[in-house]
Amino acid sequence: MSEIKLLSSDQATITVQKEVAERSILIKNMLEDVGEVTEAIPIPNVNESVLKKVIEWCEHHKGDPPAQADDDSDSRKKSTDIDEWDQKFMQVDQEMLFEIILAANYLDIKPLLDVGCKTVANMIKGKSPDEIRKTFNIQNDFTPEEEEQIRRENEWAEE
Amino acid sequence: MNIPQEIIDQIVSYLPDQVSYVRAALVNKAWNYAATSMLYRHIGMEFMPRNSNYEDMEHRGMYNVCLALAKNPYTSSVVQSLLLYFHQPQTNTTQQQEWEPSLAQVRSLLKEVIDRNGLPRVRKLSLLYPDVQIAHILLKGLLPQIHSLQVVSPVFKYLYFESEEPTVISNLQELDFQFTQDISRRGGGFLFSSEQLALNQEWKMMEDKMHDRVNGFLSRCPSLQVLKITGTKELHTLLQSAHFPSLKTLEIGQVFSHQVDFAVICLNSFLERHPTITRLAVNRLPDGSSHPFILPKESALNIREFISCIEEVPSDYLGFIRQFQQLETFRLEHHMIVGSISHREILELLPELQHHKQGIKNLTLPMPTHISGWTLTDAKRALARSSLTQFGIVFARSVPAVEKFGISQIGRFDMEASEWAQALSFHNSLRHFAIKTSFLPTISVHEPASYRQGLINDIARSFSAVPKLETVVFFESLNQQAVKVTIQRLDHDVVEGIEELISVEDVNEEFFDEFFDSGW
Repeated sequence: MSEIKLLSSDQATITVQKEVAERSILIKNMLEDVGEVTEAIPIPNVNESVLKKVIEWCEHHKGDPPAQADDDSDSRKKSTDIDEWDQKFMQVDQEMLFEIILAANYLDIKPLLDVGCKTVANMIKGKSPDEIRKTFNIQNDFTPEEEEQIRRENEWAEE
Repeated sequence: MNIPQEIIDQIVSYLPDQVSYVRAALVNKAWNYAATSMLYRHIGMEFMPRNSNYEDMEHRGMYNVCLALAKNPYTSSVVQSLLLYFHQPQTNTTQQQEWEPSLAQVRSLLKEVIDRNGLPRVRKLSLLYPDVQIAHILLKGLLPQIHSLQVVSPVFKYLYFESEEPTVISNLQELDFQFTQDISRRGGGFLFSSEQLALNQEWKMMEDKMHDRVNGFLSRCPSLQVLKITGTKELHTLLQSAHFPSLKTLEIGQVFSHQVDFAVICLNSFLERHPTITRLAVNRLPDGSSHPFILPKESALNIREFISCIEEVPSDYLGFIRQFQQLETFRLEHHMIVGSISHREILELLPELQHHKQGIKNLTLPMPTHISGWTLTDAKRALARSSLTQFGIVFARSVPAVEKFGISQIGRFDMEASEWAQALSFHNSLRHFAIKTSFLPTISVHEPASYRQGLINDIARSFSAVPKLETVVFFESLNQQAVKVTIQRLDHDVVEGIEELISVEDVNEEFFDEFFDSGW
């Protein structure tokens, strides 16, 4: 089983099975383009601890069937179910959760990005706008007038 | 932390309902952008003024949605599908007059949106019993861009299907026209009075105009792939000259019975002109026609999916079914008036479904009478059991390629899982089976979860007798849900069931058909 090296943003080198690393479409395409690599592949946007976490996920899911081609984002069946292992995997502090999501986005690992976004969506369910802001430390950039206008505009959806 | 917009979009897309979108829209501007896009993507609005006797007339849904679309260009720019449902006013003019001011407001808001080309992404438009003027505003503005149009109306004769420029409507791929009965059509005079005759003459002229208009519209839709028509007694007039080079699906809902001969002749010729059709769904046809429904050769070879709804089995039904040469899917719905399709009829039908090598893969049948027990006294339960076994043998012999089998209509006897499993055990291809019977007893909330799991395992064990069966779906009466059990065949002949609760809609989608009136 061939191995490759990844270089995190904080200059840590991590050795990983090629098959595992290729869960990342970014890395897979890169390897296909350049062929054999002996040097560590730089992953400039992801630090060592996050990269290790992402690799842990890729290792667990290395045998998964490939994702369905472009599942319709409108699909009624869009489920927020997360399998048990992934749920445990995502039990991390909030900063790490978003770091994983950002890394999955950058590395183009769609199933991991989905699990991350579902986890956040599950945290939001049932929360008021203010609670959402507090939970994720989000700045409210609306003026009171704008807020009132949006409230009025979307009133129909709460009937 | 700075979260990129695309990630916020994705998080919001996983929120479960409208209320969650409304809340997310108030978090901040970036979240508003994502949540508004989800909230306004598929709009369904309803026009029914409440408290019409009072001054504070409300317009449930429609006015407020239209106001949001008119006042905020971003909300209208994200809409992809639009459904407008108008409650019908009582046929007294007072109510119509009372509703008029609200309708006028909605009209003017929609006109404002259409005039500024404010719905650029709408691809699907559904107009259910529309106000004629609103229908005109939307059709005029949206026809060139939409892919799917549904109109349900008693007054097609007043509708114009004209875009801004009456040219070819090249984007329209799916069309669903439902002609409903016009309850305002009444004379009041004697049948042969001069007033009544004059009124009839006027109606006839209106209908002719409507046919010309609809036919003119159809002739400008060359890209149509799906055509659904129901409720007209003039099917032959509508379909006689239309031609759609890429038509894949033809669905003919109920047409008035005294025109069946015309309808059959017209369908024959329509199919002849459309050998591209692969899915055919018909309601009640060919039923009671003196003209045999003969499939053109190419259609017999090309149609892969035949969906049929009947009230009773027509005398020439088997001869008709025998004509299909390449069916992969056959679904039969029986409108239950008294009992259901008889056991004998099903046993005669099954061998007719297999006239080629590949064979039918997806099969849906109503539950025959003997098995359902509707025609048997309680003392005859043994007969139901032997009928089920007999069905199982004919099923395995006649349609050996079936992989997905759904059986609709609930039985009176509710045969047990082990009895159905035994009957199906002769079949060597069946992988998925759905039945509207509850295989679970009512379980007390005080029972531990392991008790239910034990019952699920028993069901899985019974059905593991069907060699290739992977899942069995059945009805759970308690909460109107369906239970899907995945059969796990473990080592040492141990069988376990993994239970999943699924919605009735999901069962309908997989095993039945949207063309069915009742579904599961």
